[in-house]
Amino acid sequence: MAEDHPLPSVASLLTAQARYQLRLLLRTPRAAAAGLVLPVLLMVLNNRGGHLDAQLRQLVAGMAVLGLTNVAFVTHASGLVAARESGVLRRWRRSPLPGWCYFTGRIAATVALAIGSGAVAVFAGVALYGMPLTGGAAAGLLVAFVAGALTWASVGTAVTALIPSPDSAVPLLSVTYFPIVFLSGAFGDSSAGPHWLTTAVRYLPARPVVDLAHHALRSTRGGLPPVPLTDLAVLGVWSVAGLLTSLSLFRWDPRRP
Amino acid sequence: MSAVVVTGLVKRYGPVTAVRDVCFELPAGRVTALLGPNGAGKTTTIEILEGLLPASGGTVRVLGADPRHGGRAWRARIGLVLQSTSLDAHLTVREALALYGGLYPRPRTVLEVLEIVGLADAANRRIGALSGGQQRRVDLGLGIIGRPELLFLDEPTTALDPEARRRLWTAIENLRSEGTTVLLTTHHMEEAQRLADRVIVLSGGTVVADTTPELLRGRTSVVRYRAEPGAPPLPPELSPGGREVASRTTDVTAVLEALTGWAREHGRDLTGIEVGPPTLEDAYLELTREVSHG
Repeated sequence: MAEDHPLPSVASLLTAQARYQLRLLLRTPRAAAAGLVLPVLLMVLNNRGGHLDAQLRQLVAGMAVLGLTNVAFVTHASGLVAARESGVLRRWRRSPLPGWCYFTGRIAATVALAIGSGAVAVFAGVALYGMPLTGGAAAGLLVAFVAGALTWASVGTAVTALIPSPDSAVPLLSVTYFPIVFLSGAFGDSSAGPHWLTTAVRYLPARPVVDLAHHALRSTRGGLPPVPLTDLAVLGVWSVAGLLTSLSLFRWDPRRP
Repeated sequence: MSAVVVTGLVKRYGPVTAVRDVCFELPAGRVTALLGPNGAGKTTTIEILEGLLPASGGTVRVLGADPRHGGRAWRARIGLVLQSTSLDAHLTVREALALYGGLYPRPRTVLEVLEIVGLADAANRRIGALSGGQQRRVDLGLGIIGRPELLFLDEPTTALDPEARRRLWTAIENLRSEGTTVLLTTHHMEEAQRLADRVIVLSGGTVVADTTPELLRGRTSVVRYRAEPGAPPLPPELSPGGREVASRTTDVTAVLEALTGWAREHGRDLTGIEVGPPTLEDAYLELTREVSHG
């Protein structure tokens, strides 16, 4: 029957997947609330007026990263767990869609929404507090957001293997990621902690994103500013570790009762 | 030609053997019902055929391929309706059908599928807002949108109301007339009797019958009679409990003679007595009872 007709192209499958996954994310109330609204709300609550430029940039970078990581880690991973346990992943796995297309589409949509979340926080900083934003800063932020979202989505995919049910997903993911984001300086200067802690935090995946975003916001030029390669390297290591862990541990099937 | 060939299939979960030495073939273009009590191994067997579970032993060929290693083109020839619904609640029915239709080389149109599953009026509603029966019909729609050559239906009419069930039966009959091979598991014997060209009965993980519904029902007859309240006990050879006869027999006359003798002796009439061919359910229950009693 079907052999006389060619299969749809991979490009069309990927496009359809990315659109579908983005549609799902946009219809998920927690994605909008935690990724788009919460960071702006916290930024307003945290602004006591009279911010120096440096403090404002730190605050905006921190809130942008808070929203971004929330979407790329908590929303992405909890959505995957829900899809797995409801049998949606199982159905996709036996459909003609290649497994890698499913993940590419899903992660592309997650990265797009995470970038949007970061951008909302930055534009709130510009609109509410008059923070300057050059073309170079915007380009640097884009690099930071893409690298950060990819890293957190990769790690989020890997940790789904450890999460047994949709009910436990958001609590477990929040407990995992929130301290890391908090210690990263997203909520203010974190350099007061013990040396071993501040050193360790530099190699966790939140601080490099905050630093990349903060570095980008300091740019006063039009072009892409130099990107701190150490931060990118740390994120690259986490991305690869998440990918390798996912390849060996990821489950498509729900738990058997 | 066989769409599915299963030889010596074994599936173990740790120390438990769920399926042992199962052999059967599914002829192409026919509807086959896989029957059996809960825990008989039906879903395990169908999930192995779908490629969702690995077998512990034996060989399975589905449309000429090992289902665990079937590629994209092979998967495009298969349709699945899993035992439980597996849908994205945030999509509308139309969006879900369009998305899945885009995976196949020659899909049905969304409109056609909406008509087949009777959801044209709900096309723009989110799946999460539909009733359980409507969600089951979306499941079926996703299973058939790719014009599968082989369709696996694992208890497809669970949670459907009678009208929806009959609509789905009609849809399955239409699929068969188009040449689709269907493997159906169900607990509804009426469904199997109406749809199946062939029935395979599993019990305790083994095949205890592989035949046509007609042959399973056999050339016997069934006599049914329930005594009125207060009536004396029925003859013990017909009714161990003394209240009801549900006798499958090749000698209807002898059973009727015994019953009329009892009625004359006690001045009773036999209003409500039924004599006829056994249903598939009668035959199935008798078979599984025999197997469970050794």
